[in-house]
Amino acid sequence: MHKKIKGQAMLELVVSLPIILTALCLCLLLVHTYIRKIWVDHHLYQALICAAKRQPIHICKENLIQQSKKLYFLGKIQSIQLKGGGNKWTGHVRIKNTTGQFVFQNQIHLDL
Amino acid sequence: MLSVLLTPLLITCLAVFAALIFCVRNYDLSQSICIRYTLQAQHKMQKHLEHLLKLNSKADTLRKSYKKTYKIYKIAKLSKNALVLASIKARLIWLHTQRIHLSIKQKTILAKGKLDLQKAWLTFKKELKKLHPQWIKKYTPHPSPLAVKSKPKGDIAPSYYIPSNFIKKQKLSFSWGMPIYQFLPSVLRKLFFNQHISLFTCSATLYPKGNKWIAGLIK
Repeated sequence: MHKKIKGQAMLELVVSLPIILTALCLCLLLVHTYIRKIWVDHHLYQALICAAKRQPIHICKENLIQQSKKLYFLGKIQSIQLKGGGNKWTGHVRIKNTTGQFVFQNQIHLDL
Repeated sequence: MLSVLLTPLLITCLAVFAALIFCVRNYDLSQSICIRYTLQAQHKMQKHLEHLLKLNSKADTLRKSYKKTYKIYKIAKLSKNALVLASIKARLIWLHTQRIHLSIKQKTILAKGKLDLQKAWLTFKKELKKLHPQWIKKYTPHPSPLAVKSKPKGDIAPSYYIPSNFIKKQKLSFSWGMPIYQFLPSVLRKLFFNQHISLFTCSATLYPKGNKWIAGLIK
């Protein structure tokens, strides 16, 4: 009787473990992707603010690259663009990752 | 067994992620509020500045006329011609009244500027309070809302000019921060934080653009 129950529990574990682990990995991957998006969006916005503060563009870009790399350590930053002048700036970041290509865009318009 | 191990781990991970997202989003939001109000304040300062500088030609003309008439008055005093003396004196009084009138205009512009800065600060505080009632706000008011200099000094209605390094002098900064010390135990709070901490600052100033001025951000 005992052996039968043990065997059933083991079978359940063997069947459910891959499902649980896959679901867990997917869940974490989804959350991580969302955080990466928020992270890059945030730093792209900060780079645009930096440019609007009349800081040298290369410094703003460099900060953006450094910060983006923190969460995209496996990815490759394909292009970064900060365009504009004065109080109007647009920017985009293109990152290539193992899971695909991500493009982030943002713009600020500070004229009142 | 496995779920007993994994559930707390998963919950911790999700809590950390949620905290991170919350911090980033809140920082962006509070920063955009700060930027909006500092820029709005400087936009108003730009109007005041242009208005004040427009009065310079009138201030110069009145000052020169007053000096010239005063010289004539001194000469007329020697001639002892009562009629001429009275007419020159009347002109002097008229010029003086005009200069006082101009001075009131100039001072009103500066006072309005100061009021606008205070209003911007109060609105910023109010907006930030909506977001987080406990957040600390800090603002060091300028002695003058416009970083202009008067020439000649001590004159009733001087001319105002833009000094060198105006962009830096005109900088308006609002600061805010999270009261992290509130989350610490009282022993640590006493040891490390005996005052509020201001973590973030945003600043705006006025930049020249042709003959005009525009409000913009500054580091």
